[in-house]
Amino acid sequence: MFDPNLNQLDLYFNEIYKNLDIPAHLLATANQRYMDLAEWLKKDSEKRFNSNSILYPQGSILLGTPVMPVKARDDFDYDLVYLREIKKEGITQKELKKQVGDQLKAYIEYLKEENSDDIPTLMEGKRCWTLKYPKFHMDILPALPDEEGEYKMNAKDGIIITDKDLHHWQYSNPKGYNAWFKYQMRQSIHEEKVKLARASTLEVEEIPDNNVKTTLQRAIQILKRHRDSTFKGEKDDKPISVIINTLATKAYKNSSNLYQTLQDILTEMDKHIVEKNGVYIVENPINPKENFADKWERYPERKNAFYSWLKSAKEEFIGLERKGSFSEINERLQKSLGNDVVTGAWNSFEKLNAKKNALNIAVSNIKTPTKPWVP
Amino acid sequence: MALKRRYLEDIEKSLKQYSGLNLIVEGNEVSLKGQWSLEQDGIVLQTYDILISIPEDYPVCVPIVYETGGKIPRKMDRHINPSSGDACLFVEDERWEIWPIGASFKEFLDVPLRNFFIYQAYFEVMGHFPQGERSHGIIGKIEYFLEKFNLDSEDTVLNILMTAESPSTQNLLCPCGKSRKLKYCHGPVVHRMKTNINSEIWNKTIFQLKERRFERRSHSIEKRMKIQEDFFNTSPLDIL
Ligand SMILES: [Zn+2]
Ligand SMILES: [Zn+2]
Repeated sequence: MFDPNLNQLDLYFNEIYKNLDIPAHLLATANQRYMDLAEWLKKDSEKRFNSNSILYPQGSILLGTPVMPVKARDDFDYDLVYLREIKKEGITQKELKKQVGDQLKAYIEYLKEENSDDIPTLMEGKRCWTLKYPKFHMDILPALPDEEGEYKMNAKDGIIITDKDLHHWQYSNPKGYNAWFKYQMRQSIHEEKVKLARASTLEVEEIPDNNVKTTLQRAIQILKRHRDSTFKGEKDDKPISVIINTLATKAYKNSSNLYQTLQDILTEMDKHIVEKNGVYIVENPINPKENFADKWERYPERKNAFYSWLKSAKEEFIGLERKGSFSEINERLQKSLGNDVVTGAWNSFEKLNAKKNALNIAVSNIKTPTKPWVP
Repeated sequence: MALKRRYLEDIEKSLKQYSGLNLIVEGNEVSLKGQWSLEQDGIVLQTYDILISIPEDYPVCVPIVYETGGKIPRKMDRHINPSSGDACLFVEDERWEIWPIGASFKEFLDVPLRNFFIYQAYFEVMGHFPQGERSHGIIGKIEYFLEKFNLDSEDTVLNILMTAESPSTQNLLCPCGKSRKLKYCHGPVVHRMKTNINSEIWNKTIFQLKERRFERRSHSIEKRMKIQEDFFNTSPLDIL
């Protein structure tokens, strides 16, 4: 009935994306829990330590690229940086980690006293603390400001975090990376804002970056889901999100067509991996010293896993205009993206097409066309 | 002044086909409220909550329509008056061809209002309107006259409107440049417009067109004076 041409594939993959995105009501709940916690921690830090603290999102929540887990009953990740505004000379890694844990325990006690209806459970990880809520969990990463300026770009947002054995400080800069990411796709962000403004009463300038989603973000979400279903068992080999995110951003061509964007990314992304003396490098765009793929040297199976994932993604996503009907596409993608996602997407895609069809008929049936105006 | 009985009856009659709307009469105020559901081949395109307020001098004044469910943003680009929130169904000068005085209330619902909601439902899905929409304000009016007269110059539109207004000019040459007498050219259509368009609106349009012409002319005079000034200010010494 509809051929898989570029426009139809754009609509189709947009429905796919909607079906693997975090549902709006879930994200809204998580955002609310985050803001409650941030406010409480800030007050508590002032009382307890007489110092300031900030809790802010990092990772896919900050980048706008989270995906629902493959198994619907699993949690989605809501990753946070908990920045204590103190000097590293005044505290050991062990103390920092423990203090954050104490605060979070006190937060839970506070929620219990308040008879809150959503009380999380606390778990300790190697680097972070985890608050487990129904449907999602917050990984809270203790951090201090990086005063030495490890980062070339956006150095003011640099942070230091504890390492796994609580010994050497590690560097990170999620805000700086996010700024780079958003800057790379600023043209598309603007276009999405124009679209949103047309459909609402907002002006372009009033719309925050996080209220729109570009084709790049959507494509990354689809690719991450494809990765998640490819590596269900072998968790360690699974290509890490920051590698996919960085390479996809570098390969992005600003197409407003989501399907074309998927093809652009998959065709070009591996060209941005640099090989030097047998070492594979995916450079951190805001810190050339950092190689996101540094583990590939010690674990070559991770490198191989990346390339075989890329190969299968190419086979499944490139050239779909020439690879048969939509029902054949559905069948293939059900295996690699999940039954629920593809079935849900197909249903809404069919509905959308039927509606467009009906709208065209309704318009062509108008006997006396009129032209709306504004005085 | 209350709405005349026969108009009220005509409005009531239209509700047989539009059962989603309810007539509300409160003292002198008459309005219709309810749901407007658009369907095509069994597919619901959209359902709008609407309020239609019938002005006291109906049908000289057109019913005022509001979409109250918040589905259409109140902005010019969506043909909603941002300050008052009412829907702008057509250019006021064009009304006589779309819903002339004497046409029934049902025809108002059937044509301009139904079209308006179909266009809006179309916009929601497709991101643009399906066919011509008029520009805002006077430009939209000019578009109508250019279309109607089959012309492309705003100046000529004004010349024709001003010359052909009075019946005594019908033997003069038509200002459109086709070398025909007005009565064999644009005369009759202007006559029809003049008798059908509300005189207040007619006069306002001509006034706005004159104003625009005046501004265009003073701009071009300014420009010419500027060129002259520049010419005389550039002395040979400056060039050296
Ligand atoms: Zn986690
Ligand atoms: Zn003429």
